Amino acid sequence: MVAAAALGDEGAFEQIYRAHVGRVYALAVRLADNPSHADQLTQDVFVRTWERLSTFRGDSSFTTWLHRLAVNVILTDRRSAWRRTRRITPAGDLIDLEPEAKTVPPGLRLDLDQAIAGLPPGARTVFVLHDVEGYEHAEIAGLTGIAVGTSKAQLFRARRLLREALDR
Amino acid sequence: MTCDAVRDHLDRYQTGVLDPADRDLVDIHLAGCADCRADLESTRFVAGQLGSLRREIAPSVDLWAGIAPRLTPQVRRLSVPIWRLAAAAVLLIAASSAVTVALIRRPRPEVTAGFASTEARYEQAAFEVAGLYQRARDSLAPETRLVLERNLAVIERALGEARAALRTEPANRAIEAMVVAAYQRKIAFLERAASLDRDS
Repeated sequence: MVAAAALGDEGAFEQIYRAHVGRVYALAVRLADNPSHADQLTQDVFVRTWERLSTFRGDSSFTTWLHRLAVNVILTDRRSAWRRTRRITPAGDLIDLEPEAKTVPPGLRLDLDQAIAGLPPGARTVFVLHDVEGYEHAEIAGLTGIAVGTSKAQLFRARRLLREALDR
Repeated sequence: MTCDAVRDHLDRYQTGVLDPADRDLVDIHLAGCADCRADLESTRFVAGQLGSLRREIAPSVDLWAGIAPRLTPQVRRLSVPIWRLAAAAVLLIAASSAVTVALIRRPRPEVTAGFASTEARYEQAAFEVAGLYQRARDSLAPETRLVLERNLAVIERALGEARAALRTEPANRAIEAMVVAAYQRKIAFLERAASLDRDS
């Protein structure tokens, strides 16, 4: 199916999309700032996949290859947004240019996905990549442009915030 | 052991896979460090929650409708590896050279009138579409421009050879057709190249 899609078979590519959209969307919705942006990011990931299919050599599984490409597309979009923000704010580490975390109404019981959505973007990115998707800190540093130490600090910050949000 | 070193071990500590020597050092540190104990509790708490997280989430609407129109053939051609384009370029040079040599060696047929005006129209069309590409090229990635312009040079060379052959045999209809085909290839290539910035 991947080989057929790489030769331009859109029907085969639609089957690939159907098989993988749930996994890609889950990643996008956890990293994006709102669900409608996750829709656009998911579409961008699959268009990019179509463009890059001929470079897939089978060195890893197709799922792994697609997943890494999805992470790259989503984080590139995030970096662009942060750069636009940085033009009008003092210079600093990209990961520190975060809007405040979404506030949670007192007494509302959250599930883990809702609590993740409430994390500040930098902590959320590191938490999703490390604890949900299984990336190492060095890989996260390479993907996001932050230092390894910053990635570790953001992970523990995220875990503490999640515990505070959920364990009450 | 420092706080940073302890945090590096916490995932393996809380899953019970940390080797005993390191485990003892972490235990000693945790006994005297409230911050690291809090991090351990957070790590344990979150690890207990992660199993409930869905690996897949279905979008609320079918996103394929917004993907399919963007899967243009132009986009797919751009993804052809550079080595394949280079190999295709070499083959094109070899093929066009062989055809030119074969045509030059043929006996001269009678003169055909009116081809000059046909060629002028193609030349004008190629000039106009080259202008479109020039306007689009700045928005393309440098490596994309390099590949496009190498291939354009191959097409130009084939066109030049065809025109040179036609000067040798001005009325040869086969060479006229070759010149027209070369112009058409150049125009189609430039049109595709000019559209790449809209597809990226």
